[in-house]
Amino acid sequence: MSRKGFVRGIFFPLAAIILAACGKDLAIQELESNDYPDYFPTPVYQKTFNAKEFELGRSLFYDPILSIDSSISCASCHGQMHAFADHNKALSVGVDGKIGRRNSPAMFNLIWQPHFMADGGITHLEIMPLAPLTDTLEMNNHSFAGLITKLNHNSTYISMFDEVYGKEVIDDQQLFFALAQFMAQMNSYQSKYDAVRQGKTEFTPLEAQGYELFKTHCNTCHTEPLFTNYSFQNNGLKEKYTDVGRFRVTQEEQDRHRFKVPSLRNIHLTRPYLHDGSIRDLRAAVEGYTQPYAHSNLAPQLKNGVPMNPQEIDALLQFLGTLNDYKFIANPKFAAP
Amino acid sequence: MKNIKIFTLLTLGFILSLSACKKDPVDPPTTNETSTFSIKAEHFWGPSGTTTVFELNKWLVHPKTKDSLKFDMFKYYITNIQLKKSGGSWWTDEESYYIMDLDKMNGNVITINNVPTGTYTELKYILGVDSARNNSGAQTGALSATNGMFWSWNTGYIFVKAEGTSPQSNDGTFAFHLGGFKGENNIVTPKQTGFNGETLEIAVNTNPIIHLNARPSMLWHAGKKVSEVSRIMMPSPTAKAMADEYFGSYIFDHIHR
Repeated sequence: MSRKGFVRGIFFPLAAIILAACGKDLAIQELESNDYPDYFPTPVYQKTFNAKEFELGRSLFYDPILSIDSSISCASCHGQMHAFADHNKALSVGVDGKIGRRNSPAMFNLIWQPHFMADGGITHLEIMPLAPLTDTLEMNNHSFAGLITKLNHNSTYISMFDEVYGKEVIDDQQLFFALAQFMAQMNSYQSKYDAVRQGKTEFTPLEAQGYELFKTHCNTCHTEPLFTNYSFQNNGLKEKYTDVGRFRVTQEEQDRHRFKVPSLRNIHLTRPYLHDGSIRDLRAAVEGYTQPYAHSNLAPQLKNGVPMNPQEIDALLQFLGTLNDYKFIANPKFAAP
Repeated sequence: MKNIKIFTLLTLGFILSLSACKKDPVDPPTTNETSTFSIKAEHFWGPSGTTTVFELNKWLVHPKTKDSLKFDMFKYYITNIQLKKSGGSWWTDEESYYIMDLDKMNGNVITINNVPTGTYTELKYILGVDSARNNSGAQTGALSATNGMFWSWNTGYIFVKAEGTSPQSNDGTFAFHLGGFKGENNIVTPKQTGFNGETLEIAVNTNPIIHLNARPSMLWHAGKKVSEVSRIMMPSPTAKAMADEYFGSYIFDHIHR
C-alpha cells in the first residue's frame, strides 16, 4: 500500500472513528472517492468526504439565498464552464449592480492553497466564504448573523442541515463546513497534461515545444504540478497600479502591487486575466512578459523580459491549452443541483 | 473475512478513541462535585485611582488627549481561563472563550461552569484569542463569526472593538478594531493574578465573583489623539501600543463571595 493509500485507507477512517467517538458530529458516509494523482503534494486542508454534507454545500453554492436580497449565488460569479471563474467578466457584479474590486478567481484545487484572495489575506478555506458573503460589493450580508437567521427560517435548509449535523439550529460553523465540503472536492487533475504525465497520451510537437519553454520561463512561479507556488509577485504587466495588492495585508513596502501567483491550470478557460481582469486574452498576457519592466519590486525572473518570438508564444499557448480540464468543467457532481 | 477485518478496524478504532478522549487528571478532586464562579470586569475612565465609571452612550473627556468620546460599542475577548488550586496544580476551563460586551445587560460578567469544588488561589486568563484559534477555520459560540469579531478579509479575531462618536475625529466617529496574533503586532496578552491573600472557594450552590478593574481610557495613554487616528481596522504598531496599555490596566480588585 502506498503512503497515500495508507493515509486514506487506514489513517482517515481511524481518525474519523476517533473523532466520532469524542462526540463530533460528522457521520462518516464514505471515503472521498475523488483521488488526485500521486505527483500532487499533500493537501494543506483535509476534510473527510461526506455525501450529504457535499450535497448541502452544493445546494448552498448555487442558492441566491446567500445574498442579502436573494439575488445572486456563489455560482453567479464562479461558473463551472470557466473553472469557477466569472463568465469572462473583468470585475464581478454584486447585489444592486455594484462592481467588485478584483477579478473573481477560478476555484479548483483549493485544498492545496495556503491562502486565498489575490492578496492572500485569508488563510483558511473554511472561513474564506465570509468575505464574499459580507462584502458590500458582493453578497452584502452586512449582518452576518442576519444571514444565519435567514437560513434558520428556511424549512428546506433546516431539515438539510439537521440531517447532516443533527443540531436544532443552523449556525455559521455548519454553513462554513458545508461549503468547505463542496469546495474541497473541486479538484482539477484530469487535463491532457495529466494524461501525458501518466503515460496515457503524448503531447503534439508544438505542445512539447511549449512545455520546454514553460519549464524554462514560467515554472519558477507557476510551479508544476499545481502550476503555482502560491507566492506573491509583481509581474509587471501593468504600468500603473491602483490596487496595493499584498501590501494591504502585510503593510510592508516590498509587497506593494504584489499579487498571488495564480495557477495556470484551466487558464484558457478563465479570461480575462490579472487581478483586475484588465488583460483580455492569454496571448496579450504572454506577450506582456516579453517586455522588460522597471517596477522596483518586479519578480526578478522578469527583469529583462522573457525573450520569446511569435512562434514560441504559439507553442507556449498550445501547451497551456493542455492544462484545460474538460472533465472537471463538465463533471455533473459540481453542476447546479 | 471482510467482516472480520471491519470488526478488527472498529475495535481498534474504539480502543484508540478511548485513549484519545482520556484526559490525564491533574490533582484529582476528592469528589466529582462541580460548581460555578463569575468574573466581573469593572471599567473606569482615567488613570489608576480614578473612580469615574466607563459607560456606553455617555460623553467622556480623555484626561490626557482632552478628546471628547461617546462610545456606542465596547466589546472584547477574555479567554483561556485557568485557576490554581490550593495544592498548586492548575484547573483549565474547557473551550474557554467569552466576550465582554458592555452593550448587553450584565455584559461585563462572564460565568464559568463545571469548576471542581475546592479552594483556589490564582487566576490566569488571556485578553484576546490564542494564536491557534485564529487560524483553525470555522468556530462556534463566542468564536462564531456572527459575533462580528472576526476580520473577513485578513484572517484573525478582533480582540477589542471600540466604536463611537467624537467631535475631534475628522468624520465625527471613531472605530478601533484591535487584534493581531502573530509577529511584531501580536497582542495576545496572557494575564495572571493572585487574590491579595483571599481565596476563591468553589462550592455547590454558590457563585463567587472575581472582580477585575480595567481602564479603557488607557487605550489613549500611549496612543494617538482621535484627531490623528480615528480608525484602526487591522493589526499594527499603533494597535499594539493601545492594546498593551489597556490590557496592562487589568488588575484584581476583590472576590465577592
